[in-house]
Amino acid sequence: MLKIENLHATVDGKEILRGINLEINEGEVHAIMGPNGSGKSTLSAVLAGNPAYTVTEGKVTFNGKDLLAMSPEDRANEGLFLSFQYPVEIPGVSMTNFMKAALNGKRKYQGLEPLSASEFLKLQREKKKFVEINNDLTNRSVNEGFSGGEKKKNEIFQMAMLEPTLRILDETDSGLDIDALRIVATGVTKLKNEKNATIVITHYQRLLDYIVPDYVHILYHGRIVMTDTKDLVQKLEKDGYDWIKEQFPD
Amino acid sequence: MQINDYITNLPTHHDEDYLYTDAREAMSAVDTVVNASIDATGIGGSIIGSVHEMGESDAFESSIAQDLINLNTVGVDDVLSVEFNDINPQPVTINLSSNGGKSTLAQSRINITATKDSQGQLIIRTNELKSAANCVIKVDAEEGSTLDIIYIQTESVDAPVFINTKIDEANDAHVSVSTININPGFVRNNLQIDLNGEHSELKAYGIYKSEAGHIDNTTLIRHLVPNCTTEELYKGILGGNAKGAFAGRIVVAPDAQKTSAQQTNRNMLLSDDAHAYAKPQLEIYADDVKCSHGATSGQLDQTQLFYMQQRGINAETAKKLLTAAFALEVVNKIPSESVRDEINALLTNID
Repeated sequence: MLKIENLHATVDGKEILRGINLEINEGEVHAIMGPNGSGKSTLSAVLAGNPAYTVTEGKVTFNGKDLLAMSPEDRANEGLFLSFQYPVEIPGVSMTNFMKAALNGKRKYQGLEPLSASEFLKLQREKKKFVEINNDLTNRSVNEGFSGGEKKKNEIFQMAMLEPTLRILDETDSGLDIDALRIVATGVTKLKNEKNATIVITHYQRLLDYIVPDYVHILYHGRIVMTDTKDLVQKLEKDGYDWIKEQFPD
Repeated sequence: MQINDYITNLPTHHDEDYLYTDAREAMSAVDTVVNASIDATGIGGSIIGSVHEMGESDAFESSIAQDLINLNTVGVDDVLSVEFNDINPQPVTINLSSNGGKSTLAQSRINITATKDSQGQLIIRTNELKSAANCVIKVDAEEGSTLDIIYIQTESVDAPVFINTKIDEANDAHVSVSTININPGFVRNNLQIDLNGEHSELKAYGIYKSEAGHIDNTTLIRHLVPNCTTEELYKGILGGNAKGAFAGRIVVAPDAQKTSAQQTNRNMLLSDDAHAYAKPQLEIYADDVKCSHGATSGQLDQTQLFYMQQRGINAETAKKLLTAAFALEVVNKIPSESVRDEINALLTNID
């Protein structure tokens, strides 16, 4: 589904990714862990097409297409979804208008007719129930005045609506209390199937107790320095990252 | 005097109040003067409409549009008067229209009176002006009256349009003026309000959105007596090579103690070639007043734009939703639900 080859990227002229190689197939869950500043969030931003980052070298194919040549919206419509570490507040744009534009954007990309207002509202109701989201959130402006937990739940609601094939969770667990974490993780797990794949970017073990990874990668200084099974998570939780830093000096 | 003499008398960008709009140059192609057609609906019952021949008694003074008001006497035979009596839930709509392009100047004169304790709403539409235009609207808001005036232009041709409004408010009068210009060709709005009666209130709202046009809102609000209130908020969305100007002056006379006046102009610039000019001015001669003004110009928030694109919303649609959101603060203040819906639909119109 996704193949990353020798990916290098910079932000403000500083090289953050220094040759990433990674292949992800349908149905798989990959955890990407690593100390602060290792490039985890940069990787997700580059894959999603954030214009603040510049790709200087490498190749990424998604569903056989050149991902890096696509606009951010085409990447999304092709099935890539980034759950933001800090979901953006958009005062004055209602969740309903936002979601309708997103869903119909995707349908247009797929050559489908837009949903009617009643079809849309019905779908929105179903998905809200599915991810246990409070009714009230969709009546407000996008993320405006939402608590940290509400914002993350809203990300999962959007994921439920858009049914992406590649879900990238960027530090979704940061700032979540245990109840919100459970709802978010349960939502992601319920939406998992054999056709979609998941990249979980996280510091900590706790999210991975719910979303169990098939592979765990350690990103350090812009490269994946180690790949193992979920057992690696226990070791990191116990020993921290110091041994990685010693093993892979600059 | 001939028409040419009047046009030669028009202010140029050397005049302080016309820095951003050269009226003489704008009107330089005019060789013919006609009456603009006026189509009014909603008159009847306690709203009285009448027409009289333009005469000397129709003359009045304006501090920012005198030469345009003088020009407005040429070839204008009739004055439409609309009088709001009682409480009127239905609005009066006036549609101004003309033909002829840049070389024809269509003029009209409208007098509005809101009589004591009346309530009314007036919507003036200028989409059908297909020539140069110079329209004068003189408003008297009498004691205790409430009057909402809404100007709407959402289509245009490439010809200069000048809308000159002069409003006098008596004691306890409440007037709001909403000025909406979407896709203007070349528009200059002159709005002067004199608060002559105590406890009178003015609300002036403006929305302008342009990709290639010229839009200049110049306002003069004079607090001449104590205890009056002004709230002024104009927002502009400028892309392409559009030029938008807001020049707002609020004058507080020496006697006008306890004045409360607030003026805000915010612009969103969507391209490098778009220009927003802001000239906020407060002239305060009284010492016990509460006045503020602010002007900003900014650009689209790139993190918001990227967030929307990441959800599959194309950049063009995302920009439309974000600019509509920017305008929403003003749209929500327009005192007519149907106009609010109309403007929201236009601003968020997506495929």
